[in-house]
Amino acid sequence: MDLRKRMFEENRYKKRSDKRNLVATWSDRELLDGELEEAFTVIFRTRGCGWAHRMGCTMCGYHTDTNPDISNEDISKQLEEALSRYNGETIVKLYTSGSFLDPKEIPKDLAQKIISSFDCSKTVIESRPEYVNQEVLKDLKVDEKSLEIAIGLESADDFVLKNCINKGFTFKDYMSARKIVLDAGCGLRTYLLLKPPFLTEKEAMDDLIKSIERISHKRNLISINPVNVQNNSFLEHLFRLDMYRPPWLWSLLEILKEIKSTNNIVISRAGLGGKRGAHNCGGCDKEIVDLLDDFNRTRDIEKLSRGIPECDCKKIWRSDNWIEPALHFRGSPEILSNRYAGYV
Amino acid sequence: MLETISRWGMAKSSIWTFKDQIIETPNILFLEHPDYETPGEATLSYDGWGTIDMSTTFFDNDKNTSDITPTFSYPLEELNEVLFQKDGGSPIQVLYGQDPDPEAELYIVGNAPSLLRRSDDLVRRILDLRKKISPDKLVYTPGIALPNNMSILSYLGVDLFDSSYCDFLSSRGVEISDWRGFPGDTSENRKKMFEELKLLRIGIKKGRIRELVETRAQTEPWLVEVLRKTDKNNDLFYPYIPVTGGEFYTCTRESLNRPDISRYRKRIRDRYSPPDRSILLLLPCSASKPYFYSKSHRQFRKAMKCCDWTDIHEVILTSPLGAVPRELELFYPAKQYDIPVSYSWYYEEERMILKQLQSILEKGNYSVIISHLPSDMDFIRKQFEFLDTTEGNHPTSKEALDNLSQALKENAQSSRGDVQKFLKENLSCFCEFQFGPKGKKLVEGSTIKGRYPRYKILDGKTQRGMLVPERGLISLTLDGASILFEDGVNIVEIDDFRPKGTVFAAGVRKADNGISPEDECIIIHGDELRGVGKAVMPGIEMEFADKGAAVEIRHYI
Repeated sequence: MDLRKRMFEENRYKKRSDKRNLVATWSDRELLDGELEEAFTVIFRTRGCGWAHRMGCTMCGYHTDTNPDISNEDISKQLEEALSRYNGETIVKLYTSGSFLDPKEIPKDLAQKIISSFDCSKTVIESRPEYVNQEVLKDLKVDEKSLEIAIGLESADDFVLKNCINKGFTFKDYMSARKIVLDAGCGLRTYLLLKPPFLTEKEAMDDLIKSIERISHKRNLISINPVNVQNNSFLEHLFRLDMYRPPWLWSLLEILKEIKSTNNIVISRAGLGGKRGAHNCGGCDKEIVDLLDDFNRTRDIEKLSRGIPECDCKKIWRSDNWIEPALHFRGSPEILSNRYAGYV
Repeated sequence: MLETISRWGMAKSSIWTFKDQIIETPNILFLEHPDYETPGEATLSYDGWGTIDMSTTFFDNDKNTSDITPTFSYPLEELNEVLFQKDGGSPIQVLYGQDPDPEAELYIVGNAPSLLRRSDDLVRRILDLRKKISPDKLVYTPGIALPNNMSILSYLGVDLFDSSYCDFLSSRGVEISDWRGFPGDTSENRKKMFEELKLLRIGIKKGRIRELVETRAQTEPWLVEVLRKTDKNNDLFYPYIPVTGGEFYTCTRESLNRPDISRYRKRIRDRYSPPDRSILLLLPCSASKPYFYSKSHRQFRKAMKCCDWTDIHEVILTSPLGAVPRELELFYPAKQYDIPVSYSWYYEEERMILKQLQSILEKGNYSVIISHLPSDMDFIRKQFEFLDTTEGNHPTSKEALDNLSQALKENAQSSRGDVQKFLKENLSCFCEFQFGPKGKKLVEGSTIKGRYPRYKILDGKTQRGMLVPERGLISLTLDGASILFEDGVNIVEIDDFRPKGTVFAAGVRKADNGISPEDECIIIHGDELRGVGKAVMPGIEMEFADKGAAVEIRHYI
């Protein structure tokens, strides 16, 4: 753990200096009850995730977008700014680079004020499971049906959570938070990570498929987040040492083929097709990413599987999956081509 | 259980008995792969999901509490429960930085691909492991073997390779070779791995692996780095290299630091004292070996006949051995090496020759030093004030030879001295070189009989030993052995039995760690001499190994 600790020490206060404004806002479209609706996303700059202050997760670099000295007035100002950009979208996503429900990040009354400021039919907030309890949900004073809580579980396997992600909570913790959320009548959204570090491609695929099986529920929207290598994360360090390759898009397509139902599945768009996100050889990436975008809008798995292009790199992906377990290597097979003297 | 058949340095070829299976090493594990076939001659295939296909499974860990597949690569802190043993098979340990478990028989070097192009890390990681584990263990580096680095890995002490790197390149359309890869036909790739393995096995068996290593290392800069850095650890290699062997070529700059050659030079500095003579004659080397029989050296000898030649100490200056005294010219590798001759010397060679010569000059007590060297060795005359007899001429030219005779006539007695004393001094030097300072006792109070080079060391009518030119070593008789036994030289202590043909490692209790293969061994039990013979394995290994011949007995009681 020493290396990780050092990485976080070095990066904790990097690049966040005196920034007190919103991190970002944007509008896009998202599927809600079978209809494509306008969605508005706000990312508040807060003092940052409590877990990142203690240690943090291996793939997370969001602490870059936080400021430990931020005040409540700053957040109120950010709210005003966000409201000025809001155009009455149906869905509003209120994110921080941490947990919206963490009172240290956003005090209870302020959180309540933020949520009630937006006139929308659905509000999505993110939180680690430890901040989710009945009182907190009650204190938000919103219609439960219109509230959706998103929890980053990443994997349903405690071994992976502890050793690959350093998540800081267990699957049991998630399950009790989930029970609270579902019992309260709120919507639930769960993030699962495709390819945490130290796993082979195939292990990561198996892990994700099993995780989906273990958490699927009709009111649980599962968001598959293929890793994108974030600045200042521990993963970035591994990535630069040739010890990590983001997942292949083929793996993502394979997972969608394997799982029983894709009704409650959405794929995170972050980094797809880029060098730091899930990617293939470069030739077929755009086509596949477009297909996945289309899938997010329609959830039409038939259309997706019909449209998958043929590419020679699929053979490479399959072959690497055969080789990788034999390497006894915590990094990625890509190191073999990066360090090869001849032509590849 | 492992039986080493032959070994040269850390490279070994052995037979591994694994659950009724007999596996020859070095070997390649061919991954079971949907796209690539295992070559017909290959003996091992390897199921990528964690089993070596040898009738029973090997790697699968059924006690896995996690959902993920058993081949899970363990992160840093989960390293301990990686030793597992099933169905009485050999224990295997995957090493990610933890200490090797002495119980394991096969060590898998985890994260090996990160060692590619990192010569420091590769050498340190493998040699550190080799230092920590006993010599009769196997090391496997997954994922990094290619035809051009397999021999170097083997030289470092790796016994098992796999086809995964080769398959990785195949899937990307790269045709591999023992030089490098190019886009092309990948269908023969696995076969090429196997062809190189065959060469490697031959190299180890013939004791010529080093030449293969030097050849292959030249293909990539980092491999040369690996070789050079390995040569800095030559001390570790000395006991594992036979003290005799066949002819070999020293063609590259790295040949200068071959461990057998650097051992010879080290012995000249550490366990050699020149005979008591007043004239030192420096001579060039010859292409045919031993030098004594070469045409040029016959001419030198003829020129020396004019005076008391028993008062002349001849030293041949050469690369890569530096300085070879005439009396040691039969000792391996002085008789065996062959070097490209271009009449130009590079800096490291010059420095090395000067260093070796300096060491002889410091220990000798010469009144005259004659340099009968060709003009390309002027770097020696720049360093020392010697009597030059060639004066720019070729050493075998008439002028040079006349000069030599003239110089010797002026500086030496004209009548011949005591030849027996001359021979005894030579043999005494040889014994010291072979057995260490205590070996000189073998010659004390003896007479030397026989025609060069088959000298016999006689004590009255009993023979103590004989210089065998084919081996380049003195072979002992029981009488010779009992003399060295008193001083505790090359002792191998065995259990209480009467050895006749071969002493096996299982019967060895203790062995001198300085013993190299082919060394003379004195077999004892308690304070009783039981026999004498030649070592088959290094002394260090005799103590550890459970299987294999340790000493071949020549004479026994």
